[in-house]
Amino acid sequence: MNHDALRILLAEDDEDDRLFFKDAISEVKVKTLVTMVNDGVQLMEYLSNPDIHLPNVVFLDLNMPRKGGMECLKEIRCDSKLKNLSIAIYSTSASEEDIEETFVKGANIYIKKPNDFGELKKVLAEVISINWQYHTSGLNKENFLLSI
Amino acid sequence: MGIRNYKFSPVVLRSVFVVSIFLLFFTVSISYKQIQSLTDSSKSILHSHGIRTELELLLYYTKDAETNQRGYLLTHDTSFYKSYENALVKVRESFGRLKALSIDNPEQQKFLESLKYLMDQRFDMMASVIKNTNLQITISESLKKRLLKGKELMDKISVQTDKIASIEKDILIKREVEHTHAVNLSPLSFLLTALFSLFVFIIAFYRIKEDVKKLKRVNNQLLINQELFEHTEQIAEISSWFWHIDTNVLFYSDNQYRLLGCEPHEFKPTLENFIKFVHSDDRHIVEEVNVESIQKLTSSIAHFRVIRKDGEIRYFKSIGKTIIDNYRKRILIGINADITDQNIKDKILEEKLRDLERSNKELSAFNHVASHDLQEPLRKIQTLISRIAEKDISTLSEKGKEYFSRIRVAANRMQKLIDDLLLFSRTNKADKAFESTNLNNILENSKQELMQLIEEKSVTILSPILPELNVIPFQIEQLFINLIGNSIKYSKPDTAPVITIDTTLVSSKEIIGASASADKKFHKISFADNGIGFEQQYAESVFTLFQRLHDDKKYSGTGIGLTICKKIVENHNGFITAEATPNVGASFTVFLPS
Repeated sequence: MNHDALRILLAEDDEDDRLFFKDAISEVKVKTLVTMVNDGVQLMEYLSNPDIHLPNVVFLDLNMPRKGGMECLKEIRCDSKLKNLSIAIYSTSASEEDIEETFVKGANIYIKKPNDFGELKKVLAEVISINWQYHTSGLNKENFLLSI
Repeated sequence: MGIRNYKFSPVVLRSVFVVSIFLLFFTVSISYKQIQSLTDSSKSILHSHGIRTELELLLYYTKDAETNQRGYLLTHDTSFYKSYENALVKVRESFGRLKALSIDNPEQQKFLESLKYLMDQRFDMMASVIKNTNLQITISESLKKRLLKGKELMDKISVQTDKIASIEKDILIKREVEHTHAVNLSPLSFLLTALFSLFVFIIAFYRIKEDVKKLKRVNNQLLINQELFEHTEQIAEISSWFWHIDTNVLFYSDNQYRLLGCEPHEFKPTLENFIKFVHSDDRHIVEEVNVESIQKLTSSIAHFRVIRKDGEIRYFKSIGKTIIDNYRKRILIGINADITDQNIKDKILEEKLRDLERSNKELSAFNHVASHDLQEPLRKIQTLISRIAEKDISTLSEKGKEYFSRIRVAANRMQKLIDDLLLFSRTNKADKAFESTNLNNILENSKQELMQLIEEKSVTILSPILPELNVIPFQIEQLFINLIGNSIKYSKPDTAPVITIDTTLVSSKEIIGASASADKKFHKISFADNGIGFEQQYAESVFTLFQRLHDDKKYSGTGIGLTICKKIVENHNGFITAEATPNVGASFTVFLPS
């Protein structure tokens, strides 16, 4: 296990999206360790395992079977052990309601899945280069939705 | 018309009647008094005449006695003596009558007393002459003396009677004057009485005639109202009733029977009979509301079902109220309405509303599908296209490259369509908050949004100072972006676009399609360009969803932009119109309520 690498956890049910994510993140010039889960239930099981190192960033899809991203976000923020996790919402929709609700529930950033691979790489590079501690303290609605 | 005002008339009539009776009684009593005094005066005249006649008789009898006495003295014939005695009796009788006649006059009594004394002396002398000269033919000296004395007495009697007669004559003259006065006065008072009575009768007749005329008019109006009311009741399917609470007498309008499926007056109007028609489950409602109406003196409403004579169940709404009438009696008045048809209509409406809600839900589900499920595969296609374009495009044949570029254009177009559709469905939402907004700021934001396009095509936008309006800010911004964007999109290829914005305040009467009755003020904001324009016949259809006037190649559009504009303007209760001339330009005018 590489301790210097940035630990990234992706919760995504779509196989294609997982593939795009993996491909894009591998081209980013930062050492990363990507773990993937297929839905919210798996995500919560993974996070509740006491043997793992908690990820530096969680990419959370909203639309997932069994347990959705919104529910996971709520549970994470209520869990004393997990509540300081950095969470990036990673969703197809950029509807105002979703953005508003995830912001209120304490997500750190909102990413609308791009429809261009080059753009996806840019977005991921931007997100993982953020100094999360700084970003969390300066959290506001204007820079919540990530725009490149 | 003044049925209530009519109330005061009997009071006036009554007081007029009382005054008339009083005046009539007064004049009649005066007349009666006049007649009475007339009768009195004629009576007293007769009385005075009687006294005078009697006096003359008395004198005549006295002289008769004297004549007969003389005859006897000369002839000693007993027939003279008899006549003399007869005359004496008559004198006495006459005197008695005279006394009786003048019993009311003490002065005359006194004169009569002295007359009596003289006459007694005379008759005593006559008697003594007859006695002393019994059968003597010669006339002695003493006899002569006595005869002279007798003549003297007779003269005195004459004087006395003259005196009495003259007093009586004075009285008579006085009475005659009085009588003449009374006689003159009586016809005048009769005339006055008659005239006054006539006056009262004419006034009364006139008043009664007027009242009857008014009454007739009021009655006529009542008749019309009654007919109108009955007609109204039949058409509106309502009925009316009133209930004299104290006497328990109930009255139903004809339609009350008809609403219950009966002929008018088919049954006796009582609460018990009505309750028989009420659905057994609802009877308690009717009974309770009756008690409530009587106790509270306010109007109360009840809903219940009745079973008509033909067995059909009808829904009734009943409104009752207790009033106090002019006789201070309590009356419960009420209206029953058959609301069955309305109920059915309401149910149909409710169903339609449910249908609408359902289709709205379906629509929002469709929105969700469009925003997530449709976008997801499209986004993947686009991502995959971008991956191929980045790395593998060179491996394709020329034909393959061309096809690939077409795939890319089609995918992008699909993306735009979905985005625009989503935008359109979002403008549907009516629960957005209205805020007082400075439209100049909105225009600035819109220009900022279109900055790249404006610079690219060297667009000139001329605008005046825009007003501050109560609007949904982001929708108006979208409206401005769409209208300016539209003008830029359909500009002439070789001419720099110029967009002229103008604003004025207009009345709703100047807007085609606005209701002219409500005179409201609108802000007219127009966007005129020098673009390619279009035929005026398409001025309506440009606002229709997916309606496009130009082919894809030159002008790319989804046909949603102007539809969104129309939707936004309608959300603001405004209007939007288009005017255009091909190759000259188009002008879009927005009317927003001020």
